[in-house]
Amino acid sequence: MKPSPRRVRLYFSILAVALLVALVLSARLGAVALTFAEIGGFLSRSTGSIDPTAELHRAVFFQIRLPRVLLCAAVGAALAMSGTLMQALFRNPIVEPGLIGTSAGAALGAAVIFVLGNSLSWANVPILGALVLPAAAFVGALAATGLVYRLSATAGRGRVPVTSMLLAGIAVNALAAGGTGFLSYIARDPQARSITFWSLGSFSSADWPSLYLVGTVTAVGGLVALRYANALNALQLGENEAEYLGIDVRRLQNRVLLLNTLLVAVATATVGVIGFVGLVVPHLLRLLRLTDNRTLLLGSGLLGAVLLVISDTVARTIIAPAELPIGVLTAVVGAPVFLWLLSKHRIAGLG
Amino acid sequence: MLSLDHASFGVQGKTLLHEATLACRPGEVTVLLGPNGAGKTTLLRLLAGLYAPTTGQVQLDGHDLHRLDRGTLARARAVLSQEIHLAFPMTVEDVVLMGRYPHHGRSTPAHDQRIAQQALATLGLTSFAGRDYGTLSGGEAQKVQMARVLAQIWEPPAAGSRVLLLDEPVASLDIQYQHQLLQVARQLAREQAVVVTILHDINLALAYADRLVLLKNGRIHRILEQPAALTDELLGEVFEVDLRVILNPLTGQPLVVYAGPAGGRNV
Repeated sequence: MKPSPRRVRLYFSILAVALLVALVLSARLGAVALTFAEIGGFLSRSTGSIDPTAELHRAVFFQIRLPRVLLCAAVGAALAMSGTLMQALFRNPIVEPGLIGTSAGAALGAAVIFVLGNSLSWANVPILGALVLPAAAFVGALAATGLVYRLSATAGRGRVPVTSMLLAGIAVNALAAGGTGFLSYIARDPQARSITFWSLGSFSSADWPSLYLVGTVTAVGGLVALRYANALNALQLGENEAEYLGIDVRRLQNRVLLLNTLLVAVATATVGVIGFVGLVVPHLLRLLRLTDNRTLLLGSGLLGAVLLVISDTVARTIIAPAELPIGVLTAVVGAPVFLWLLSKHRIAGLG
Repeated sequence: MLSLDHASFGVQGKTLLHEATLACRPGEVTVLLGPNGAGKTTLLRLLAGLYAPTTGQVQLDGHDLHRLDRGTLARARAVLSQEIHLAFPMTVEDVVLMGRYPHHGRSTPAHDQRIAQQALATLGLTSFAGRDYGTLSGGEAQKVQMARVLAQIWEPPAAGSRVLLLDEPVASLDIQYQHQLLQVARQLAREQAVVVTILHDINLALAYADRLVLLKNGRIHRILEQPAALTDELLGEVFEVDLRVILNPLTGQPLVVYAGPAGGRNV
């Protein structure tokens, strides 16, 4: 039975509270443990004290913790929302955001920089040097997705043939993975390690500028995505049926693909490849019998944020002072959860 | 009035429909009849505005269908296709409410809700509203889609004709619901809608058609303004089997029966 609007509001309230709790707990925990009182003080007062420990804690909170937990939330929201968008667009429950080459392309772009980076002089220029890696990842993401799009788009009647796109996506993913593998092979050990770590994602480089970028793209992208919710609902009937309901399917497909590429490319370029969130979150929400794409998009934004904030907290505390790559955690936890859903036949949309 | 004027349509050099000229009038049920591959669905999709004719014209009330704004067209014209599957679960009521999407901003949610309920009631589906569409039988699903299509054009548009296009609407229905669905279509025609439907069952076509359009090999073979004028010869030409029109002894209406392969006299 479909949940009542009241119940849906309850779900959203729970998710919002969970996100707040996760953010505060995550900001507290880490190499330097902060108390709730301290965090409360930081947030309510703008001036610091003269006490050096308090100043250090303040710096940890504002320079490291806060941008990091917020970036986790933004990336989680971006990946989960793009998963929902892609599943709706492809009308397929096994689709995830990286399917059309975006993340594999980003990884290849990053690998190129890791291998060539040291021999290039501008890599050492401050600020610009820090931007080279995300920029290359972003270019790689767009290039791979663009290639998938061009390979599958035929003259035809102009719609995007989604099945061709899935197949082209598989091929381009393999190609990009091959390129990344080759670069890892020819790389020296530390470089190869960097490529591996990057392919598993990390929030350790989180800072305010990256949060502003990802946060803005996610917030604006999320709002734009909500405008397509009804059209994506109608698309569940089939492409022709959506046309009969007055929807320009070709334009919808192009816009949603572009939106998805931007969300995933910006997030991946900033923190590396993080799998499974985009695949699993929409399915978790469907367990609550949410079906409308508007509620699914909002819900996946919130739940994706909660899950990634929790994952990152675990990743950086479980083997402290070392840090587990977050992609390891999302896969090791996400995959069994997904398998459990499968075994219970609770994946909506699979026979 | 929904009309084709020497409209052809082809893909990749293959012409699926040659120079079709047809005027579908409000208040009439036009039935498209013909063997597989005759071009019925192509013709219907041209009428729907899904395909743009490669040559010729398709017009609704004198306006080129492709110059019409998508929203305007969607508020006036609804199309029922065959076997619609959803990738994800959705309640029957939400499926029917999708028929109201073209009216968003012009109608209120409460009004849309009311229309959806009335559309469901028209097809005897009131108790199905909360069901998951994926759990329905093929026939039930088809009726739900009919309710969605009805909700889309529940009220006549501000100006111009209301159009209902049906592509083999009763293929998955048992005989009771075949008649139920076609009677709903018939009723809409009585309310001055343009109704065009593809049917495979010639006897259903005879029972509901105001006009019969016979198609063969991508061309309109014959248009019968009086369906009762259907003859054995015409049926043989179009379907290439031996069909006979007899009189139904109960109703006195024409009834088509199968007598064997074309030219065969195996009785």
